[in-house]
Parts: sequence; C-alpha cells; structure tokens
Amino acid sequence: MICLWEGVTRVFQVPEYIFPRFSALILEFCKFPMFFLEGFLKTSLESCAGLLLGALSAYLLAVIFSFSRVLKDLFYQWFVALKTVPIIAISPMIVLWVGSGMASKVLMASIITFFPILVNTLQGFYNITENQLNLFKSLNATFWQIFLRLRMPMSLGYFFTGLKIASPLSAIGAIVAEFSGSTEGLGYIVLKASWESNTRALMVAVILASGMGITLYKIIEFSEYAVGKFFPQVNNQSL
Amino acid sequence: MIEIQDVSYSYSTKEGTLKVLDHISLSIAAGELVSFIGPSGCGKTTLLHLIGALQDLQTGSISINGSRGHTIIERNLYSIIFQEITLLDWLTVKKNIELPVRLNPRLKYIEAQEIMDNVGLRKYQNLYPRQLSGGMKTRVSIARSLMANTPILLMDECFASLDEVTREQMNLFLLEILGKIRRTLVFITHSIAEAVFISDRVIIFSQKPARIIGDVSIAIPRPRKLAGIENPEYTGYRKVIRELLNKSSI
Repeated sequence: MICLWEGVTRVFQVPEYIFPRFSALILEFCKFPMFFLEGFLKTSLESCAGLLLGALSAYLLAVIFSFSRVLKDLFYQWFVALKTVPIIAISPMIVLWVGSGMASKVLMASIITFFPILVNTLQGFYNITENQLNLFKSLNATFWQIFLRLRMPMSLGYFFTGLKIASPLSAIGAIVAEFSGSTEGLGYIVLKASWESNTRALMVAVILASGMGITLYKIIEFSEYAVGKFFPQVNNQSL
Repeated sequence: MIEIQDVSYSYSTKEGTLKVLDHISLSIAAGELVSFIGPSGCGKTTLLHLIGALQDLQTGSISINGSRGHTIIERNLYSIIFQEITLLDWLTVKKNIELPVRLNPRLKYIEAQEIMDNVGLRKYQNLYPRQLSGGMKTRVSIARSLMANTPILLMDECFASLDEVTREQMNLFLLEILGKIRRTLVFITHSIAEAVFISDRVIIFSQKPARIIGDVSIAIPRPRKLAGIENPEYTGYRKVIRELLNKSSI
C-alpha cells in the first residue's frame, strides 16, 4: 500500500498540498518527532481514559436496566437521543462545563463510546432463553445466582463486541474534544495544520490517530482472547 | 408420588383467552415411568411446568410427596430436562453436571465422577458443550439431572432433535440408567413407539384444551430390548394409542 501511495503520487506528480507523498510524511514527522509523539500520547491517554469511563458506566447502566424494565423503558430513549446529537455540537458545551483540560476530552470520549457498549451489553443480559432461566429456577437459584452465573457470563461476548465497536470511536471523541480549546493532542495538531494549510502535518496526525484506533482495537481483541480462555463462549458470541 | 387434581390452565393472547388444559386429574406413583403423548401444542409442556412449579397454578392442585407450589423446588423434588439443550457454554461437561451442587452446596448429591462413569462421560469431562454431539449433550443434561439426586425426573421431548438411531440408543441408555438409579419419570414425547418402549404407563392427551383421553398401562416385562420392538406386544399397544390419538383429532 505504501509503495503504491509513493508510486502513484510520484508518477502522477500529485501536488503536495492535495495529497503528499508518504516519504514527505516521514520527513515531516522527523522534523518535529516530539511534537507529534507528545500529541499522540496525550490523545491516547484521553481515549483510553474515556473508553474506560464509557465502558464502566455503560456496563453499570446495563446491569441496572437488566434488573428493571421500568427504568429501562423510562431512560433508554434519552441515551438514544444523546447518541443522535452531533458530537461536534456538544463539544464546546462540555468544554464550557468542565473546562478545557483533560476532563473534557475524557468526557467526550466516554460519551461517544457509551452507547454501543450499553446496547450490546444489555442485549447480552437479555439473551438468555426461557429454558435456561427455567433451569436455574428449577434448581432454586436465587436472583443473584441467576445474575452472576447466567446473565453475566452470557453478556461477556456482547460486552466485548461493544468494546470493539467503541474503541476506535474513543479516539474520535478525544480528537473532536481537542478541537474546542486545546493546545496539545492530535486534534490540536489537525486544527493547527489546517490553519497553516500544512497537509503533511495534517496527514501525519490522521495516520497517528488511525494507528491509535487500531492499537486500541487490538488491545481489546487480545483482552477478549485472554478472557475467552476462561469463558469460551466469548469468542463464539462476539464479532 | 405426584398428585394432579382438577388442573386447568389458560393463556391470555391478543385474540383472547386460550385454554390449554381442561380439568386434568392424574396420579403417578413413586418409581413409575410415565409418558405424556398428544398433539403438538396441546398443553403437555405447560402441565410439566406446572408440576415443576415453574408456572403458577390457576385452578386445581398439584402436589409432589405432599409438597405444593414453590416448596416443590425448595425441597429439590425434581430435575427437569428441556427439549432445547440447556448446557452452559462456558462450563466444561463436569462443571455443567455439577451445576445443581454449585447453586445449592447443601444438596445431597451423587458424586459427579460416579455419575459420569454411569453415563459414560468421564473421558469427556473437560470438554465444552460446543465440542459435543447432540446425543452427548443430551447425556450431559441427563447426568446433571441425576446428580441432583431428586426423586423425580421431568423430561420434555429431550430426544426429539436426535436422529432415529441415536434416539433409540438414548432410549436404551435412559432405561439402563433408570434401572440403576431408580426415579419417577414423567416423559413427554411425540413418538408412540418411544412412549411404549420406555413407559409403565402412557397418558394420552386430546387436542387443546387438553383432556386425558387415555391411560394405557404397558405390561411388557423389563428389561426391554430394541430387538423386540416390532413384536405384537409392542405393536398392540402402539395401535391402541394411535387409535386414541386419531379419535381425538377428529
């Protein structure tokens, strides 16, 4: 792919401001390596923290909704509504509420990751058959035994599916939050490069962001594999 | 001993009330092997669930050894095996069999190793359900129900999804196990041949709302062999049951 990129841009003499050569991106990175790396690390930290917060809160809420259909019917639609609001529209409001520090980026990343994890995990909690439930009832299982020994293991594969969908989204959330009042991070680099019409720096930031998303996804995939050693259904259930 | 007195049951549907059981009364003695047979959807599974207190009675009464309602479950009086295999995918064969004890550590149970030896599962004990055939999964379900050491076994068309040869093997296997570990059996089946082969009695139900239209005692001596399944003694009972079922469908 890289060779094709380099070859096509050289052969067709594509202007740098439209689509730089890959070698030009390497040079740009090497000119300011610490600038790009610090931005990458900052955004990575925000993404990971946001994903963790989003995952924990989504899982907790899925547990609560699995206990009470009434609560689920009352509040679920609000989370659907939150999901449909354009994230770039609420980003300035979040910066206004919690400041332009790391908190706003983590919060944005968690908001964007929350919904897919909630939906999938809740589906996992519900995805037990009537006969499985009857089996546990016939064995005089308590409410908590049914939850801990049936619903929770059943939901694991779905939880990991939600995590895999959400992990690249956490990067998007952090970067979009950095558009609103940040002086570091990949989002800031993208904005700065746009103002300066520096396509090379812009593309370096985009590639680093993609790399971050892929890395997060692979970490989740590996975690899923590890958990699958103890809960084999995880690998069968998830994407 | 299972006592069913004047049990009726209806479901609420969009079209109105659907009555599935109509004044069912029945006694099953300790150690009897009884089959329920009838048209699809006539209410046999509902009756099984009512016996197991998995659904609440609407009218009538059901008692097992004098216990009623949720006490039947609390006193661990039965084990149930469903048509759909209900093994837990994240547990090995051994842990699936041990599930009753994991949920109720104070249960008086038969050791898992002994059960696995009896049902021929010892060498599969560390496998997961996805690694087993349909017949093996059914054996694991039976082993789990035996481990709980309950006096009654309720089986809801457990062999329905198996091919004919495997099904016959499972019938023999069930009789062999029940010969060693005596239980009261209530067995739902659509197969007349299976009902006659396994049972001491076959209860025949009509179309819904189900009524008992026949109670045929099967006086064929045990042990029963598959080789004799086409003998007149078997075919005679099958003919009687078929005629009763045909009459009910008119």
